[in-house]
Amino acid sequence: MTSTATTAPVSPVHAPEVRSAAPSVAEVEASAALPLFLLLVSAVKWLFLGSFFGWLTFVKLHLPALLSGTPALTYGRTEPVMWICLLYGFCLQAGFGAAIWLTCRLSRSLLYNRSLVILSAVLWNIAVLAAVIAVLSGNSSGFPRLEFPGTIAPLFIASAVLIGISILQTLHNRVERALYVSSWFIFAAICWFPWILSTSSYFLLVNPLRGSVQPVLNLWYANNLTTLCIAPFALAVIFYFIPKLTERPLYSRSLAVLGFWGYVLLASWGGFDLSAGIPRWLVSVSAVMTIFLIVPGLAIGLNWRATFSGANPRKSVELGLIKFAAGAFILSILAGVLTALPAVRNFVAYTHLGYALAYLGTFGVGAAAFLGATHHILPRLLGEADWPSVRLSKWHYLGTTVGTALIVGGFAIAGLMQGTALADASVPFITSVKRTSPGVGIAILGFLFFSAGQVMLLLNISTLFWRCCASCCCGSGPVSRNSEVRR
Amino acid sequence: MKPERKKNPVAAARPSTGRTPGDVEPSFGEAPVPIWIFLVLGVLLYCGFVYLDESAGGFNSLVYEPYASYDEVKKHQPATGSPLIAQGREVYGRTCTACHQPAGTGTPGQFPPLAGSDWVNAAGPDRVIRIVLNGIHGPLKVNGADYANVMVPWKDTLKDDEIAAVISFIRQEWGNKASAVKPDEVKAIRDATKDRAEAWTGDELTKVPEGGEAK
Amino acid sequence: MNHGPFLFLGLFAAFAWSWFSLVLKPQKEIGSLEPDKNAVTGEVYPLNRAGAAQQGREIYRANGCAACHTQQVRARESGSDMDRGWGIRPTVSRDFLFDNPAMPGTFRIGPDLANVGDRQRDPKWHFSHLYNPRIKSPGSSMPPYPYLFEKHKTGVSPSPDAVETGTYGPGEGYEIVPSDAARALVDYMMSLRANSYIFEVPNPNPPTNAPAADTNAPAGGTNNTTAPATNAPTK
Repeated sequence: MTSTATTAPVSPVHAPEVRSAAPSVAEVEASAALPLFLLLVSAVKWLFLGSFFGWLTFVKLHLPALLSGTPALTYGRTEPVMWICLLYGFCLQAGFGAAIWLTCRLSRSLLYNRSLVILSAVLWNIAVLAAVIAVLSGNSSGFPRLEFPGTIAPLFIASAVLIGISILQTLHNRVERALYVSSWFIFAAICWFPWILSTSSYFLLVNPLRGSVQPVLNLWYANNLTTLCIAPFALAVIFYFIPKLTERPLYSRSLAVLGFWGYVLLASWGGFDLSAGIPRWLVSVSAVMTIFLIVPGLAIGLNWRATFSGANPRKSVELGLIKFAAGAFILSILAGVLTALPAVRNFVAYTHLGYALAYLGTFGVGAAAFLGATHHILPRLLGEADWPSVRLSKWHYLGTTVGTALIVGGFAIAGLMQGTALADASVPFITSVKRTSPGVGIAILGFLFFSAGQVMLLLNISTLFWRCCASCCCGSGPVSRNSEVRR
Repeated sequence: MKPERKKNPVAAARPSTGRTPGDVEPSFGEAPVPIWIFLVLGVLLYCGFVYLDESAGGFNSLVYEPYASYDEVKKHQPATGSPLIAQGREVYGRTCTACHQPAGTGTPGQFPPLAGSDWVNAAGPDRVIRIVLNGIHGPLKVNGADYANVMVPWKDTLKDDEIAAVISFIRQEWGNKASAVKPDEVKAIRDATKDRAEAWTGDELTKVPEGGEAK
Repeated sequence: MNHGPFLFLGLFAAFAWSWFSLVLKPQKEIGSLEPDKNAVTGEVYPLNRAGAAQQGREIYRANGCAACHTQQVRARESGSDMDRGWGIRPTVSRDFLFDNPAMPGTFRIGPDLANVGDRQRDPKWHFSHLYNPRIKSPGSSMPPYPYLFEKHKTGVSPSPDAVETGTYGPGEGYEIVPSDAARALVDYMMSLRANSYIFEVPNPNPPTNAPAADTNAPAGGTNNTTAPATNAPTK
């Protein structure tokens, strides 16, 4: 890292041209354009599919007989498929895409190993599709968040490693030597994801450990996947866009350091909130570490808030989405702390509140942050000043935010009401099911809003591409390319 | 050679109005960490360690809720005194506590107690063996109190040695002082009553000898 | 100065700390457990499930039953599970010893199944419930599994295996019988019994020498005062 002389020579086909001055922003973004299209647009498609499967899955709670004659569409298969689409298809892929763009911009360097990244993007999407097909055809592994068979995991690992190498090389050759906080989070995520996936897929899918320890490993993986692989990408995005859109420096480097190291050290320990079947020390330590997360949460929240205060940023969809993501992150830390308290945990255990928190993270933090980044990035890559349809952008924003709020709120209501019934042994179990009905109904509505919002974005993306292709091929399109305007 | 750390010249010259030139990257401000965050951390650390002291089971992976330590788990291991009584204790725990309660107290008005019960403390165990084998229903007087409930038969679920063990157990626990029961005695009564399908009633049983003699 | 190496080392240390404590330590301590032999009754628990039950476990896994059902009983201090008759003692890691995959579940959209083999021993109940849960459990949100059953014309007399379908039947002249998959799944359900006391969760029934007079006091605490849940489904 300290001397370029010891780096192995890179083949001229892959190495960017050596420049004495930093490449311009336009050149940097152009070098990453095709990989970013592949990653970000595919991600949005998986997001739509995932939210559709989410709607289908939870509608079945109201209409159990819906499509029940088709084995592939039974609840127990559509639910894991929804998570595969959302976590692997969207969150991780969009996270990698955002990380690549952020790294290129922050390093002021052209993207290294561009063709490998393109290969990785293709591999990743093949892997997600294979995972979805495997689960729908009954070959789910039975492990939540790791439902694909062991043969698919190496595709994810290889793809992530290739992208990670590309990011690291780009970072290594950065012009701006100081590392911004977004790069710290990206570094953490790209190192940790291959590590946890290879450990978990080997010891749960390929060469399974004894059943007694499988739940521990499974919970460790599921928690680290969302809190230490997906969330850091989202945090990198939020930390980048808040100062950028408010046109001020980030309030405090020291708070960023405290927030980063606190989060990385503590977040890995959460997730063991089952109180049965897990050794007691794991449950207790996990609860304590989750509560300690208040400290990095405060550090991060204060940093963001202080950067915002007094600023009067220009309103835009990406600002709205980034603010939503920031608020959702702080809320999820607080909710995590609250539900880690044993009395609360015992009340909400196994209820729909688990879904509320999961969607607060996946949609509230992940989708909002990555969609905000996508919203900013895609037009720039095509040299456009803005999206073709401002109205579609706005509806996308509304669909995403209102949809997420309804989903999280609906499941929270359902979960709390379910908890009141489950806590009292004299209340028959079926009552707890009935009490979830209104809340689940609100969540189903939320999924409709959310899916509709993503359709708006997909329409906008296709118009964007069509305009760009038309102007390129025909020489004149509805709006001429304006490569001078930068947002 | 390592390039010198450069400050981004564009960021230093922030425009007063309008849009930022698109190539400005975010930078760090230098505000300090407020001191009270460390106070919060200190309080949390203290509370956390106190909690772990009592609830982490000594970090031993064989300690599960509700036990607090490995020593407590070991303390609760079944006493291996008399194998018959210890087995009876196990059978009682998994079979009888739902109605008769772990301390043999029963539920007033619903299920009769076993502790101090005149039926359990009878000189011979034959009536109790019949109750366990075939069940009992209808009005029943135990220690002068009236009960009218149903006890399910256990002849198909419990084996002779288990029935002998559990009756021996209840006849010497909670202050009861009565003789133990052998599996042969249970087998003899099981064979004698093998054609009986319904549960006993209290009246029928009072006509059956308590035991020790032939039926 | 270049913070890259520090960042890398710090992250590696943080990740290694997590990996050693949360993967390696549990594997060393509970990853090589063996079945426990009860010192008093000599019962060995857990035992590997019979072949049909293992096949049933694959059906359970393939259809994602763990998405709605848990297989873990909490201690009395943490929940009402034991009071509901879902188990006589809390679940521990050893309960999953021979299960691959271990599926403790995370949601209770349906009741806990850790001891369903003790609660509901009637296979006919299970077949009806699987065919359409609302036959046995009105208001249930569990999906029907008609594809685990076969429909054929009723012969001269109904098959002894015919599933009781109530108002959800196949219509005049037809009957529903379970396929091999349904039989395997029900074998698995019946094999779900974890009511054996083992080292980590011994029988809490304490030895007492209290005199008779004291022990006729009304039962205190949270013990189940309803009828024993041996043959009736506690739902």
